[in-house]
Amino acid sequence: MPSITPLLRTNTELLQHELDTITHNLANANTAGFKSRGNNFVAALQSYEFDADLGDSTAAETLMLTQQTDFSQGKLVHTGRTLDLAVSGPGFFTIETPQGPLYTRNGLFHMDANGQLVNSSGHTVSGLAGPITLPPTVDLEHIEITPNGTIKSGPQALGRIQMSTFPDNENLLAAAGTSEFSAPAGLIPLPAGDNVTVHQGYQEASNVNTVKELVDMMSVARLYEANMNFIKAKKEASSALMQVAMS
Amino acid sequence: MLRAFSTAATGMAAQQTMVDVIANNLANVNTTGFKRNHVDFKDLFYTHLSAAGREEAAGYVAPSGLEIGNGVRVDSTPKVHLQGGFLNTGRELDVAIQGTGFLQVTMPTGELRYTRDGSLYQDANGQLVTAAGYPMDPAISIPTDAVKIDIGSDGTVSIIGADGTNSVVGNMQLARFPNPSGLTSMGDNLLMETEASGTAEVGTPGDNGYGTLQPGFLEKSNVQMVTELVNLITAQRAYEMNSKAIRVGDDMLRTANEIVR
Repeated sequence: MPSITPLLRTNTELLQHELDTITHNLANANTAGFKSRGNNFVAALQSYEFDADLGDSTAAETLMLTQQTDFSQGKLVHTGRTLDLAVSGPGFFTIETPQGPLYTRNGLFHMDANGQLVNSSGHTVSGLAGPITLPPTVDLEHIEITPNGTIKSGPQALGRIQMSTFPDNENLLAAAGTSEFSAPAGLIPLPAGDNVTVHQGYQEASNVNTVKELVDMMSVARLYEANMNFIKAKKEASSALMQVAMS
Repeated sequence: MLRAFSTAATGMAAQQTMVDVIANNLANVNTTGFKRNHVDFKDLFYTHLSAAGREEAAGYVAPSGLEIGNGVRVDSTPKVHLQGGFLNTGRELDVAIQGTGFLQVTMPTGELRYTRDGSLYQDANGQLVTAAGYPMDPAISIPTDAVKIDIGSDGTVSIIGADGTNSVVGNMQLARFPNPSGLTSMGDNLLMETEASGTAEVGTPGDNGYGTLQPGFLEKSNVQMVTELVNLITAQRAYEMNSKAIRVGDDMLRTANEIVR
């Protein structure tokens, strides 16, 4: 009697995960500094089914959902706010939290009540020489932040924002929510070079490619349907077999 | 049930908030001294199904993990304290603040509120009040026999009396905050100090770090129509896409249900 292979069950489960990921990307289509999550399961499944058609059954054991964060540059959107910062190039702002440093591309910063540069959760933004404190007399409207992250009020430099990079290792960063990433133990960021620049008065838009997500979503839906139809066909075949045997 | 449903719901709710904020910005496109609100989204926490860097087999390290996000939330809607344009009214009691600072207003409870709306009036006793009738702080009384009132760029209020003599009747002051985005909006163009904004520092207009006063002008709203409308379209499309994700999830469950009939 034909049985419903575990593979089909795995497929449908993974397709649900895939839809979850796509939906998460779509939900964050307007989140500043958001990096979309890669969906390479559909592609893997399609190539697997192709292999399986050719009679290669070993692929079944290795099929799994792999996922990567797409760290490609989002568009820079002008906001005009002096403490809105966008990064171009492979760098991150470093945010000090009680759980250790987090890395983010969302540069919507504020001054807190003590004049310290903080993010919207109130966590300190790291400077090259510790937290950046602006004197109370400074005029927020006239703060200048240069492409290398130096904060200036007139000719006077008040500090420099620490930019971190993870050359070749960005995919090891784990999403921590609130548009921030955490680095696994042992992964030490490098100081950013000239290829990382800070743009004042801009925000980096989410890099979710909505058209691609919608197309992937359709693929997921169709693949899911196909898997379900296959299960249905197996069910019908087995009940037909039962009928023949019992009659 | 599919996680995608609740994820898409967070997306729809967030975009709805964005539309609400944009609508408020647009409604205040002609409000004196109004500062637009900006919406900041953050992604929600992730369900970590497997970690990046785990050892798949001896010597083989997984290059990336498997994390499934749970959607989005509105993190904050800070006011953007950028200078608005100036409107020439010619009224002697209209003042616009050029640069940083807020006028201080005394509420009936004695508490102070802060505003960028400088359309001032005299009440029946000659005291300088806002359009809502709240007196300014420091209080300034204009003698009833004044024929002309002058507000200087440094806040000096002087009058020419009925007898033609010039006299100074008071000085307007400005308050500034370490973090103006931390002020709470109270409506009526008034803002309230909070723990996040820091304590107000009061000073003379034109001094280091304080803006100057422009008599005869009002500060216009800093809402940019075109920006808001573009944001509105973005929010609407994102809302639509999230609703589509719900429909696709629903279709998937329907196909699953059809197996057993």
